[in-house]
Amino acid sequence: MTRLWWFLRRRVGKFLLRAVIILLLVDTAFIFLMPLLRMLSTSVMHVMDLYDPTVVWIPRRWSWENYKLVFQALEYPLSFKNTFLLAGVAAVLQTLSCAVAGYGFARFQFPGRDKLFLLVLFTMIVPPHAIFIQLFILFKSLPSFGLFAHSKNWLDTYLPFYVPEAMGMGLRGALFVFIFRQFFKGMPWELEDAALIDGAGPFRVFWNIMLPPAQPAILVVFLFSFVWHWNDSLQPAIFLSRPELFVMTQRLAEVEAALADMRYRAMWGTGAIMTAAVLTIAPLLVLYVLAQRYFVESIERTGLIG
Amino acid sequence: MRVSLRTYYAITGYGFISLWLVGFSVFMLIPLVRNAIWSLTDINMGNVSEPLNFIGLANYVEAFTIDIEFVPYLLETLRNLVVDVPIILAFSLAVALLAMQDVPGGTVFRAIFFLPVVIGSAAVIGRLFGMFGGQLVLFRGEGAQQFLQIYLGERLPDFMQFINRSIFVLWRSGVQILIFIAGLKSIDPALYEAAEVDGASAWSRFWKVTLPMLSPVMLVNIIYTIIDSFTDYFNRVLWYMRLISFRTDLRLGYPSALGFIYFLLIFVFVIIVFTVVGRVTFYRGER
Repeated sequence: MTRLWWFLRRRVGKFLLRAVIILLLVDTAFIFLMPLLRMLSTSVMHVMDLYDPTVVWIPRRWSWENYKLVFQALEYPLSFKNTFLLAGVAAVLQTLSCAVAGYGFARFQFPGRDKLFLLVLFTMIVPPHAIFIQLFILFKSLPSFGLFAHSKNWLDTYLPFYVPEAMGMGLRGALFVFIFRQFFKGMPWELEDAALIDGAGPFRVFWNIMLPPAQPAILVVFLFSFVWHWNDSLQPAIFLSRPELFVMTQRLAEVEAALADMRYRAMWGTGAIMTAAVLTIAPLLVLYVLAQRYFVESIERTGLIG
Repeated sequence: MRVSLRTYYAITGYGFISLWLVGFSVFMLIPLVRNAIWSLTDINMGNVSEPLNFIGLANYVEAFTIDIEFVPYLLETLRNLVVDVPIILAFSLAVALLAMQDVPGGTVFRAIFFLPVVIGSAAVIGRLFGMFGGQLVLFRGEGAQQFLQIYLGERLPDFMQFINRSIFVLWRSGVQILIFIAGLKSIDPALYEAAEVDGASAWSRFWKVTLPMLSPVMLVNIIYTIIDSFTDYFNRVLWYMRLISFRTDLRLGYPSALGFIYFLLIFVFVIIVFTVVGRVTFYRGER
């Protein structure tokens, strides 16, 4: 009898523990999902529903009016193309250049290496606001060699986002160099040695031997870089002033400023702003849903911590 | 010409980092130094092309004695930092531990927990939390407000602000969760087995194995969270600096000084935390 009791207690206890864990997981997941769901549900509500206290999550009067309006206000096709061009190219360049630099720091002995790596870490703590005046002046003075009809310098071009990124700097570039260094440090030496003995040059070794296994790190860095460039609102606001070059965050700010002028913004504006927010991050959501499985796996295999 | 293998490797190493080195000098070092120099001058849009006119520490004195907005914003940032960092760390560790549990649908939960990293667009989230005139997003129309009103009375707005801020803070812990999960994965399972054999309960395994083994990751996370808070989209110092930099009087020396003060503050803060926390950090292979 006591044995049966003991057995039951153990089983029940285990079951309860699992139930509690799942409950906690669902709770936390809700905290993370709630703002997103709220955003989606508000965006399809009719204004009447926003005033109606009995409507909570599911709209009673569905309305696509917001989407029609905000799609135009954001100049969606154009700003999508611009943002994609900016974030996509910048992310590719940044991933490559940071991989190269990270490999250099991880695998070679040279005088001053550790001091230089401290400078990488140092870069992380410099707030962009401390140098943006200087960068503005710098980009204003750099010639664009007639590459762009509308601008003689780097302002109002995407070069301020491409060139620093291609050199392992730019938006959180230091973090990416750090991630790649940690990753390459954790890789076995044998492959490299074998390739070197077979007479491959260092860059070939890097490109053909070291990069393919670094796929998880590449994926993580690329996704981060893309997302952070997509969401960045500081640098575009400073370096881009021509409307035909505007990216999504700039349009979003514009839409919001326009709504702020309206007297009846209170409720009507809320729906419109939520719609603008949904449209801004929709491409990222699609990307995440597609890449999510690889992303979660990659995070676990990146060995972020050496 | 023949060189030794060591020299060859050194040259190759410099080759790999050369692009970064140029980038660092042009887009970080030189701007930072020039910024420091400008902060000692009265430069403005009108006299950019003229020789620099040094005015000593006048800009710095102005920031701390005349400017009535800068110092309060700075203090507010520090206060938020002290409150937010422990909350973010505790929460992200808890979520990381939860996400590591082997339950049905575990990958789905993990995917959801990484969501803030992916769409954690400060610009977008800010709009979300600012909606309904700062009303509680969670409790809209659910009767909860009226219910809480009974108990909290006049303190209801404060409470709602607190809850809103907490959720907002939790949304900023995406990268930290990720780093913790990576750290938890790297702990040797043999350590847990050994502790279990010695009769350690799950509770003491957490305090005696998980936490010490996680302390280097903890250090990384603390530093990351601090830097993240200092450069956060909602940080009012940054908004103020942005405003000042592109104001109509077009002074350039004064915003440079503000930027430099802020940079120094972060630098000192990070160094202090690094040395203090670094002391209690446990590295495998030491001792």
